[in-house]
This record gives sequence, C-alpha cells and structure tokens, in this order.
Amino acid sequence: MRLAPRFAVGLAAAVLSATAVAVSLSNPASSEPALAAIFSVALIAIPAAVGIYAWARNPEIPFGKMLAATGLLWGLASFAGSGNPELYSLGRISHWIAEIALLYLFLSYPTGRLERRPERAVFAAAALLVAILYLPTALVVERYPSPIPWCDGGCPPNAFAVTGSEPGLIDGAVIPVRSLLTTLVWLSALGILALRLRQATPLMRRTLLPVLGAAVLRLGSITAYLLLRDLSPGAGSVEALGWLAMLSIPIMALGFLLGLLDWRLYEASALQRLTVEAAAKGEPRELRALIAEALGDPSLELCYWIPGTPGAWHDADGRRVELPEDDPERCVFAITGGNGRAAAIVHDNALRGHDAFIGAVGAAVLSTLENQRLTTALRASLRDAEESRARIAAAADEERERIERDLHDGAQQQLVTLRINLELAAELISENGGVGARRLRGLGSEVDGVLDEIRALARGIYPPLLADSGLEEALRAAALRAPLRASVSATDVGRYPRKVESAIYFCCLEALQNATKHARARSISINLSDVGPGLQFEVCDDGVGFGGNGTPTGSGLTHMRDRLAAVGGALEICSAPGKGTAIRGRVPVAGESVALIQVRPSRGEAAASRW
Amino acid sequence: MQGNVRVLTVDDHLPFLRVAHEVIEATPGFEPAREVSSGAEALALADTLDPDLTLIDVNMPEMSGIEVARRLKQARPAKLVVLISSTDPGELPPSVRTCGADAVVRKQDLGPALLRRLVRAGGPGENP
Repeated sequence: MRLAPRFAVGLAAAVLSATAVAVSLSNPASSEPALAAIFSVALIAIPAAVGIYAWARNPEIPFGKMLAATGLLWGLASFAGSGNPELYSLGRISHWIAEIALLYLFLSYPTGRLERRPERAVFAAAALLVAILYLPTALVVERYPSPIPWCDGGCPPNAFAVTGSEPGLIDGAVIPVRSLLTTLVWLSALGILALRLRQATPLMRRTLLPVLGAAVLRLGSITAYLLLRDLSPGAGSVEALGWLAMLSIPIMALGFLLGLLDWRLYEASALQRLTVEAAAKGEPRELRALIAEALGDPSLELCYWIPGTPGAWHDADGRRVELPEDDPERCVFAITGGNGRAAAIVHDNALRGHDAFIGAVGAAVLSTLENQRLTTALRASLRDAEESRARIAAAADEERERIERDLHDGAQQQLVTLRINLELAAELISENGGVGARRLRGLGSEVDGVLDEIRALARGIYPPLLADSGLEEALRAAALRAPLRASVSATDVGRYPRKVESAIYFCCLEALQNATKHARARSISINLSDVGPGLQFEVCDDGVGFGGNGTPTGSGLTHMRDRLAAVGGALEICSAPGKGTAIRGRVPVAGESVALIQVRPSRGEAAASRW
Repeated sequence: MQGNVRVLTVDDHLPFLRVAHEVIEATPGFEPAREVSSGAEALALADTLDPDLTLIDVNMPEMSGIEVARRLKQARPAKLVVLISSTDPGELPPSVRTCGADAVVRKQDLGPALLRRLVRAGGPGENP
C-alpha cells in the first residue's frame, strides 16, 4: 500500500525525463541539444529522487512529497525545449509555477510546513507576484523573454496570447519590475534562513548550512541572469548564466539531500552513543546531561513520573516540577515504558517534529530511566520526610514558647499578685480581723482561678483525661467544650501507645477548631474506628467547605499531616464548596505493617494526570 | 519626712499595677502618686509628679526598666528608684547593678514591710 504512491511518482519522473530528452533532442532551435537533454533530466530526476528518499525516510512530514512533486513540475517546464508553440508556452508558464514551489521548499525545510509568520509572508508575496505580474502576461506577450537555455536560437511564439499586439508596458515596466521583485523575494528568503541559522541549535545548523549554500548560488545566478538578460540580451554570458541558474536547482535538491543525510548520520551516531553510554549513567543528572548533549539541546529537562505523590512529576533531585503546557518555546515528549508512563523529555522548539528520533532516544535509555525513577522516588520521599521533620521540630519549639509565655503571662503573674495580696491580708488581720478575714476568702477564689489556668495549660500539653481514659473519653470532653453541637462515636477503640493517641487527639482537636473558626458549621461529628486497617478517625462538619482545585494547604493542615506522618499515618481531606468537610486520618497500630498507608488522590490530582 | 512618701509604679501588667496601688494605699505613710504602664510615660511624668519613690519593672517591652532607672537617677539623684523583677534577681543582667538603682527586689515581696524597709535606710533589701 505504502509502496505504490512512491513507485508511481518515480515512474512518472522517469517518463517525464524520457519525454524531456526526446523533446530536447528534437528541438531545432537549440544550439546544444545534448546538453539541454542532460540538464532536463537532472532538473527532473534529482529533485524527484531526493524527494522520494525524504518521503520514505520521514513519511510523517510533507517535505519529501513536495520535493518530488516539484521534480515532476520541472518535467512540465522542460517542455520549454520543444519547438511546438503550445508545449513551449506551457513549459514557460510551468517555469514560473515551479519557481514558487522551489521557494516554498526552501522556506519550509526541513518539515515541509511554513511554521512562522515571516516565512508565510514571503511565500505569500511570491505567490502574489506570480499571480499579478507573471501569469497575466501569458495572455498578452508575443514572445516570452529570451534567450533561455533551451532555445537560445529562435524560440517559438506564445501560443496563449489573446490580444493581437503586445503593449509596450510589458517590456518597459512589467518585466524589469518583476525581475527586481523576484530578486527581492529570494533575498528575503535568504535573510530568513540566515536568521534561522543564527538562532538554531548547533544540531540544526548542520542541516541548514548546505541548503543555505545552494540558495546563495541560486540567488546569485538567477539575479545575474535576469539582470543581464533584461539589459543586454545579446551578450554571450547570458547563456552561460542561464545554464548556471538552471543547474542551481538540482544543486539545491542535492543540498536538501545532504542536509537530510547529515541528520540521519547524526541520529544514528547519537543513538549509538546513548545506547552504549546510558547504562553507565547512574545519576539522573548525568543521564540528563548525556541526553541533552545527544540532542544538542542544553536546555533539555528530564522529568520522572512518580505515581502516588501529589503533582507526580519530579526532577533529578526529587523536587516537584510542573510540565509546561501550551508553551510555544518548549515541547514535551512522554516516554512510556512497560509499566506505563515513565518519564518526559522537555526540549526546545528546534526539535519539534522529530518525534521518531526522540522516541528512539527514549527507548534507548528506558531501562536506565526506570532504575533512576526509583532513585528519584526515594529522594523525593526523603526530601518530604526531611521537610516534615523540620516542620515538626519548629512546631514543637513554637509550642514550648507558647507554654512558656502562657505560664509567665498567666499563671505566674496571678501567683505574684496572689502573694502580694496574702501579705497585705496578713497586715490587715493584725490590725483589723474582720476586714482581713474577708480579704483572705476573696483570695481563695483567686487561687481557684490560677488552678483553672494551670489545668487548661496542662490540658493543652497532654490532657490528663486522655492519659487516664483514652481517645473516646478525651474527645467527648473536647466535644462538650466546643461552642457548637459535636458528637463522638467510637467502634472497637481501645488504648494505644501514647504518641498515637496524642497524634489523633490533637488532629481531631485541630479539625474541630477549624470547623468552628472557618467553616461556619452548625454541627460536627467525630468518628473513631479500629476495624482496620489501622486506627481511623474522621471529623465531618456541615460547614461551607473549601474546594476548587487540588488539596488545600494551610499551616494547620500541614501540621496535621506531619503529626500523622510522624507515627506512620496519612491524612485525607474531602471537601467541596457548600458540601461541608470531612477530614480523615489513619494510623497503623501494633502488628500491622507500617509502610505505605495509601491515600486516595483528590480530584485535583486526577485532573493533572490527563495526558 | 514631711507628708507621705509619694510612689510612682511603672509596670506593663495592669493587674500588678492595681495590686501595687492597693498595697501602697494600705501602707500608712505612703500614698500612690500614679501607676503607668510604660517607661516613656514615667520619664514624661517624673518632673511634674516628683515622686519620692519609683518602682520600675525590669522587663518591659518598649523601653527596658533598667534604662528608665538610669535616666531617672541621673535626672533626680536624690529620689529613690527601685527595680522590681518577676524573675529571680540572680538571673538578671549585670547592668542591673550598674545603672544606679537603689535596690532590686522581687515582685512577689511587695508589701507594707518592704516599702518601709526601702525608705528607712534609703534602700536596703537586695542591695546591688
């Protein structure tokens, strides 16, 4: 199926070449029929052959097809070597069309698509030029401009002229103007390529350079030819320049070929190198450097997919990264391994369209990548653990300072005042017994106040009720103290190690406070259960909820996560605007494996993993 | 001495200012001139009020009690300036001794007996 179109094009090229040879050899007006025949074949066969090769190599881009088509177009143009006026005129017109095609190829190399505005603008200008200043003249001129390499002697007249005589405007104004504009168009195209060269990665430069060289040749020869032909048509060098201009076309095709072959060579050597060297790169950073060098893109990034973590993409050091989406300067290529998505290469625009190559790169380094994902996953979790530890330590310090402040400002000050009052009371008693006794009784209630204050403080550190009776009782007491309706239910809940009960108690307390302060809830329910796996708590409120995108952060919630993580547990938050909030946590208890209590991803994370 | 000993108390804790006022009032021979909660206020009032005894808390937020004591003593060396502290006097910085204050006492020891002692020998007690 795929063989047939290319075969058909090749056949057509061969047929046209044979026709061109026949036409050239039988043309009485040509002074060098053999040379004309050879040049015609070169004009048709070389672009067609290179086009078919490029088409076969990279079927997903249109460049090859277009180059081959241009070759066939030159086949039509070679009819200009015929003595028959109709064929000759057709050939002359085809020259113009083929010129635009050549310009298009030049601007769209190597993908075959005009990607940017400057290229599209120049091509549009060229098309407009031909449509306005070239094609209409086919209806009015008596003879096409000569000499041309095919008929340097007498060229046949224009067979498509509809008017009887040629307006002087054509020779005087239109032809010089259009020659000038043609030169300008090619000059602009050259300028664009030079700019592309300057901005290109070293890799791209290698493929663009031969094309640039051929284009310079084309521009030079066609400019000189047009100039000389318009100014002094009889000069001998016009003929030579004409041949040169014609020769520049197959040379351009060869320039394209050189660029394509060079790229293939480069791909092959890069892949070879990668396959050999990737296995030795133990460090993710080294692998990234190797791939960046192989693809000639120093800005290349390598990201690893670690499932089960929030924002699953990480860089080589285990830090979370965001993949660029809709960024015109960066492209992302996902590498998929046996277990699904493994990694992604974020690369520069210059490599856009070379998906096959990057895919091969990915495949070459896949096994190394898979190994390094484990390293990266480990680093990521170590990093998380470190940060969590640091936060816990900081929170503990803050707590200590708070206690110290509370003690100093509260209980201590009260005791000072109390002490002074006692002294005063003693003085008063020695003077006036009744007043002193009243004062002493008043002091008694001050002592009660201090006791309450110290009790509250102690509860903040570790509630005696929790220590004596366990989670259910302590949480019931906390629910009673809460300013809104709060209920507590417990299933199979017994006693657990101090740090487990403490972690769960304070998480529930924090959730309770959040619901009271922020959620504007009317009622809260706290549920404990040890049906397994692990000891689970849940605090649900009917408040305003929070939501939108992803898991919410806030220092209180982070604190809860850290507290649970410190005893091997995990936190889960379900909330939606208007639907209340449920905060759930789970802690492993004795006898269960500590590792990997999984938390179901929230809505936000599911959205992020869509590609 | 003629008249009552007029006492200015400087402390950022309002409950203490209240109880100090009561103690001073209940002590014969003493009268509370004013209670202020910052060193700046105390310095501003020193001239107009002319207290015979000034009690200053060492630990105050904006201006340290030690600094206030130093300035008051410089301006009016004949009047008594006593530093009061809620921490153990042994844990106070050395500048407490060099600032010129007449004495350093514990807050909780404030009472009629202490006031009398301070005034009697112009500042016995925990003499620096």
